[in-house]
Amino acid sequence: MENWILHEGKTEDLVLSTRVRLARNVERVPFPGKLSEDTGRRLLWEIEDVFYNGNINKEDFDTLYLWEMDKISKEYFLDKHIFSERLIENSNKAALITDNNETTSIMINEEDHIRIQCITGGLNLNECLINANKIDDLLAQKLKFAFNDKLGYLTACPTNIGTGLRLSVMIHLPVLTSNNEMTEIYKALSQVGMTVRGIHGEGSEALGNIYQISNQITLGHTEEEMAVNLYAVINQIVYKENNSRQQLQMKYKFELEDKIYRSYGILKTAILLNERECLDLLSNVRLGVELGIIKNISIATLNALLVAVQSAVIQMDSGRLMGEKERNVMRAKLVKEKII
Amino acid sequence: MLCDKCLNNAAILVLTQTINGIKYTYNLCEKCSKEIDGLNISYIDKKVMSIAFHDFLGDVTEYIYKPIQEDKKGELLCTNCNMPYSEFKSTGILGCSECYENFNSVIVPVIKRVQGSIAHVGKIPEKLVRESETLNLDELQKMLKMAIETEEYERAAELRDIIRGIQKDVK
Repeated sequence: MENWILHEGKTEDLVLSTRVRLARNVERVPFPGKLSEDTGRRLLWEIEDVFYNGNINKEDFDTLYLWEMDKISKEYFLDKHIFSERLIENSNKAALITDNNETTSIMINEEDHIRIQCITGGLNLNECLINANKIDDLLAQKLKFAFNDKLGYLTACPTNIGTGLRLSVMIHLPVLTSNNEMTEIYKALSQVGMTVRGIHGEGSEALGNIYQISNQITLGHTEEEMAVNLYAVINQIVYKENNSRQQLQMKYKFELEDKIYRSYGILKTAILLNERECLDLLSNVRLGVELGIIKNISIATLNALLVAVQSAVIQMDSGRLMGEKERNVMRAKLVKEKII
Repeated sequence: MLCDKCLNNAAILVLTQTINGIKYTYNLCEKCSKEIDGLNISYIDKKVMSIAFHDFLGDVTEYIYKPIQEDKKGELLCTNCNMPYSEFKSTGILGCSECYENFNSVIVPVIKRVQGSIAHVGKIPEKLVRESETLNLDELQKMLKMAIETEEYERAAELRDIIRGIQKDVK
């Protein structure tokens, strides 16, 4: 699988990345919320043992034990969407197994004992699903997963029961946002068992006009049906966004180009950039690239910036804690280096 | 609740059968539930005529291990992790996989509301699939009988599901 940040993709697709998550638990062992540090770590080592002794290339993977990590490192992985808040909350008994490419990872003792995650660039639900299933089958050879023929895989929260599968697509929707059409989309999606979240997952707002669209219902459909449904929904949203973009280009060509080039200009020259402003400006430039107005910036550069400009990532890359002003200076400098 | 059969002990098991569209429910104590394992289902026979053992295991029948454990305040508790049901009501998170069995009667409506369905049609762990392919029906039925005798209700339910799956395939 390809790291989503490096994914160039077809600009008209608007999809940045696809993520698949499978939740699994070991039968009868209390869920992580009820696990003591001692039992939690013992389970963790057992899972790790099964994984590394399975049919995988050991050199490609590494385990991070959260109790050995400092705060900045944890936030760094949080901003990169590799850790979740819950995993950090359970630091004393949690770990992450990840591949060098940061495309496949396993969170251990998050809300569930095991959360297999696969992330790739563009709209690639099938590739992600196949990859996640491979890891699931490997672990299931030795671990006895909590499973019930009626309810499927049993999870700590009944909202994940059944397939334990969350399919999630990150998508850039600047024009639907500025046309105030997102509320309608939220409503329509919830009626078909899907949900929209911001860039940082559950409960977060959509910074930089980037949304995560995922299935809310996990029981009663096969994994393949779920992928087909999400695929259909994404195609429809892409069509709607592209349609609105065309209309905008026809009616407000100069205003649109002005907004894109002004944003480009600020990113190239600003001395201080806060996170919100930076993500908004990057969204305008991304729109320019997607519409073919700006030609000398690649989508991969914008993807890399989307991660690099987040506060924890800036601090991690600089190797120290920083105040807000210092971060804003560093952020502006980082952007200038990439956007020429 | 008292056992429907002996009216002496507390019921721990609910047996539901649907015969010709009519639903029969029996609440049984541990002792009486053991007596209906294997082919000894004389009590049921009195109530519903001629139910063969394979029907008992088949599609029309299901039995659910029911929690009777309650704490001093009469609250529902999971027998595996000791979590009270009230905790789930405030956090939305269950304590262990057994909570789904132990809170079955109260949790199923919640799932139905959240998920809109209570029928898993997705992936099944490979091990379960393989187990059902490699063992023949007789062996499985023997294992089921043993599991019930040794009060391994979990294992019994699992085996029942495997047998049910094979019988469906045969049909």
